[in-house]
Amino acid sequence: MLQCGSPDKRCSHTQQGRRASVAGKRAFELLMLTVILAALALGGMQGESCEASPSIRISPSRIEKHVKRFLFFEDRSIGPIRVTNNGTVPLRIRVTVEDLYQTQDGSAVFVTDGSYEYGAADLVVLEPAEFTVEPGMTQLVKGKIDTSSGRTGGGYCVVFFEAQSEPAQDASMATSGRIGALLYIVFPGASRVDGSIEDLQVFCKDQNRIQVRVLAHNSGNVHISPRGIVRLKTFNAEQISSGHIAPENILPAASRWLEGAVDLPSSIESGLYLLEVTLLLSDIRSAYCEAIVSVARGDSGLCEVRLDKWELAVSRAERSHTD
Amino acid sequence: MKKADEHARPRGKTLLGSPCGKLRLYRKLAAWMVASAMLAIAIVGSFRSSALDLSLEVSFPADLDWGVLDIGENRSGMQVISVQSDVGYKVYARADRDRLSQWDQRYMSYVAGKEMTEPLLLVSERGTFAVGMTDILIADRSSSSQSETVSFWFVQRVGFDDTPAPLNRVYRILLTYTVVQDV
Repeated sequence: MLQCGSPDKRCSHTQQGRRASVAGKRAFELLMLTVILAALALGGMQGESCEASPSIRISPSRIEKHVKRFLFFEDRSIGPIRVTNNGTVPLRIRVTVEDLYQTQDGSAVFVTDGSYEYGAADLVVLEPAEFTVEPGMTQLVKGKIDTSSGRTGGGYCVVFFEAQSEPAQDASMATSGRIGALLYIVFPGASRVDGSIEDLQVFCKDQNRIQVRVLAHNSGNVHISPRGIVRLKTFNAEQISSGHIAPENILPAASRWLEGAVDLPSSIESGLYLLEVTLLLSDIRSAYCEAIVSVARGDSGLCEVRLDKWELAVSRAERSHTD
Repeated sequence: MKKADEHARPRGKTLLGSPCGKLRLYRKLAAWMVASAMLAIAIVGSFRSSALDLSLEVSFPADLDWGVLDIGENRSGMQVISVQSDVGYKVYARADRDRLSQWDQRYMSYVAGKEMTEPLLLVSERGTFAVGMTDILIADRSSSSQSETVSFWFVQRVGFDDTPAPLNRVYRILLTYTVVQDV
């Protein structure tokens, strides 16, 4: 039978065991203390919050509605927009509509004074305008567009779903959150598509690529989403390279920077080249500009690209056209 | 007799004509019904709004109770807005007033002229802003399939000119966060 050493050794083992037990208890106490402190710290950090965070999901968050007529029938309906409460508390939602405009970087701007000619907030009615959604539940919101004014072209607004705060709460900072769905309406009748290129910028993205930024202006009465083609040519009209400009929405009377790129062949020599930009506003309309760019390669192989703005100004005056 | 036989209705013929005629009539009716259904579907289809398959999901911070504010700088805990968006989006914040004001809990209204001396400051990734009645941009993000968080906190400086709120009153402000996708 295997003995566990002498009694002294066993005693020693027992003492070691007690020590280990004490150390274990202390470690456990330390661990518990740490857990309690962490819990207190977290509690302290979150103690300011009064209730659970409201969480809302809307789908779709962007609607493009073409109001069409057929005989005496006109479909003016919007939606439904699904509003889902993904939080843990019931939410009281209020639906409001504001005119939608945009900045040159595509940010939405909410206009409440009616100053945007193509705003449509006053032509849209949504039902229900106020409702309560239980956690995990979805409310459908439908709308109607008023077309009695005979308006043509586009109308733009943002539908806000605002989770309202209860005024009875005595929190020092009451909060309400609103989430917006963008609404693009195209009224029946003829729409006018028109636009131009207002500015052009070029950068060397890396040693083999030119990044092109085009400021496109929508002078029509309906939103456009123009795709673009960039061509780099010699002055003998020989194409060296081409690239694309990614489409983005531009509201009427607004301008927006569109971005694209054109690859530089490794064999390109330093010198002056012609950069042509064509924006396809619709199937039959386009906007065009051209500029002279100076391409220079340093000893390290890095390229520098410079744009001659004067040529751009001339091209804008003489060459911007619609096909 | 022969003449009568000539005028006699052929065997199997009904008022709707021969079985073949009846079949033709039914075929015509069926064709009309199919055509009408297709036309209706086409009309309804053309009338449908093109709801782009985009969605936006946002979790907003809950109400914040600062309790008793100390003289000096009071800093709130971290506030977090979680956003899941298919395209680029912006987050804005604004308030119903320019300063925290005394709120009467009995009448559920603000007390005129009783507001903090210093404005409420919001500290975000884009800088420090005084919260007011106009929207301030606190986050500008590109699209992401994952849920992202926008974090910020508030700072309220309290001086000796600020009077403590009496019983049944608290200093209060209503903050509105707005999240909307890019155009």
